[in-house]
Amino acid sequence: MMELPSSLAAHDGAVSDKNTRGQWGDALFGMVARLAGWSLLAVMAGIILVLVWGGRQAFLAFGPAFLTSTAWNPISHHFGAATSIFGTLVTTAVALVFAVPFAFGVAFWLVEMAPPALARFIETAVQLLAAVPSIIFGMWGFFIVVPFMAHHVEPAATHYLGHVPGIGLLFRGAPYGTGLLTGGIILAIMVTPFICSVMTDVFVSIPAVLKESAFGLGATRWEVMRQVVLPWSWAASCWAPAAHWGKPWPSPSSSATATGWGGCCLRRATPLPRSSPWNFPKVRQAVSSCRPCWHWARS
Amino acid sequence: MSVQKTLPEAGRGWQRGGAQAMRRRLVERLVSMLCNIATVIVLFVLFSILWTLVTRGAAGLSLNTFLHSTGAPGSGGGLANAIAGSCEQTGLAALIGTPVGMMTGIYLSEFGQDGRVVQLVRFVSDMLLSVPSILVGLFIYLIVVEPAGHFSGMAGTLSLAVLFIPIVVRTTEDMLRLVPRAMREAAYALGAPGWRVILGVCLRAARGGIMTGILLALARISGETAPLLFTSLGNLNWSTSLGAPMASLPVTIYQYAGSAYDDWVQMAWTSALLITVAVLATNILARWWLTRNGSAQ
Repeated sequence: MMELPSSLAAHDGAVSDKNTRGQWGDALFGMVARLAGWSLLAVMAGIILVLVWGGRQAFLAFGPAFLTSTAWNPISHHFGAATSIFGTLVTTAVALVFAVPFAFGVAFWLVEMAPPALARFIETAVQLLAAVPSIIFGMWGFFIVVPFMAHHVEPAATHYLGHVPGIGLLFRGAPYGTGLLTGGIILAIMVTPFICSVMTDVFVSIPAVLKESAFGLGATRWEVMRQVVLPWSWAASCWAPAAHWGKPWPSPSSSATATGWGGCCLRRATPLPRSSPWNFPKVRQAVSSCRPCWHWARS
Repeated sequence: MSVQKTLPEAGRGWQRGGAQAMRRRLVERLVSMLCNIATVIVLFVLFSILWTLVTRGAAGLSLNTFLHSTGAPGSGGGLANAIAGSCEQTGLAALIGTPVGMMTGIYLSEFGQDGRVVQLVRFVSDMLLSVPSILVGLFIYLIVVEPAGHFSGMAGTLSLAVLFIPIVVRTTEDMLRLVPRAMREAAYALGAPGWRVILGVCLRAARGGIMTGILLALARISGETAPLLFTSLGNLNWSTSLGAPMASLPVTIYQYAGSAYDDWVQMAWTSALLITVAVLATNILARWWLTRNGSAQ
């Protein structure tokens, strides 16, 4: 058996003392970290409980019909949520219909067409605008968009489109300027920078080789976008949260709230590839080998 | 159609004549044009928002804005109480949220041995990131405001802190994951206990990125209106007490923008300008910080 050098042996007590101190420190530190982590669970549980508890009263009083009833009568104490639900769904749908094509156009332009210096500047500007608080957009909408809609858009729209079933719903009533369409447009303006910066992030993250080989085969920019980039990023956006989170800071995709929602918009925005008159078998093979999601995406 | 037949056609290039090449050329031109138009429209709208904000907001900006509290219509008040309230609430929320968020981020990245629980906390933290802020306000209203019987600055602070934490958690975890393994191993080899490795080595290496996350979170919560509406309510007078309703810039915008008095509307525009400038400046600072300090050295 080897003998310990005397110097080490002399310090043995001190070392073990340090070790126990380290263990205590580790235990304490672990406790604090766990406490912090679990406090988030408590907050989430609290939110869910409070929502369920608060919502329960409405359902107890009005039954499941609360969801489908349009009544809002404080005198007879009869209330329904259908109006609010309908308004939320319609404004969100209108916002997506307006925002997604514009956001896609800007993202496509930034990635493929813009001169690099300008693209960097505009990309930063768009990302910064995604951080502007929502109340600013609301206020701007209230003072600029609402009067504009009331004076220029809605009278004409009511006259020509008011009788069309479906769309006519957006213009129903007196042309005050407020309404589902205005709300949807303001929401669209608000989310466009956000969707655009998420899309740009995803489009940029595609391996250059895939795009280059498609260009090498003679594809146009649009064909590359539609048959290589979109399928790839469609897969990426539902396959890997890394598309949002793995990027270095500070992309607003990681800072903003609705990331899951942004990914969801993206998924809706990107059409599935269909069989086209010409194909890139090699590129598709490359894509399918690196993205198992591909086959599923095609079906 | 079979792949073998169509491939040579694609290789021939798109400058040739023929209906298909023509169609491809046309589609390409059309898409480029649409993209250019979309970009011009989007940039025009977004910059016109900023322009409106600057021209209308700057009109009401004076020394009085920072020295006087909001007053009755026509009395020429300022925004001092709203500015102070906003600063106090966001500052305190950051003070509460930073340690909790950083410790949770550390928990997520360093305590993988907890297995399922870590995954659950990560999932919940990501969920909290996307919870609508008005729900957080409702939650705080029900657990703080209703039992206390009155609105308070503390409730506003707490709801902002709930929004602040998940952003810091996300950044801290991501940044700690970028710290090279060799660095940790070197620290362990020197005999450092786990907590000193994490605090003294990993956090130190990741501080640039974490600071960026904190700044971005600060920018995010300083513009929040919805959770403050029924937690801190707003206050027309100067008040820095956490136990009483407290004014803040976003709530002032909300209350004054729809009012019938021109000077109140003017005040709302000025608040909007102040908030936007603060948020954009914080964001630019965060970017500058990140490019200067890098993510993980």
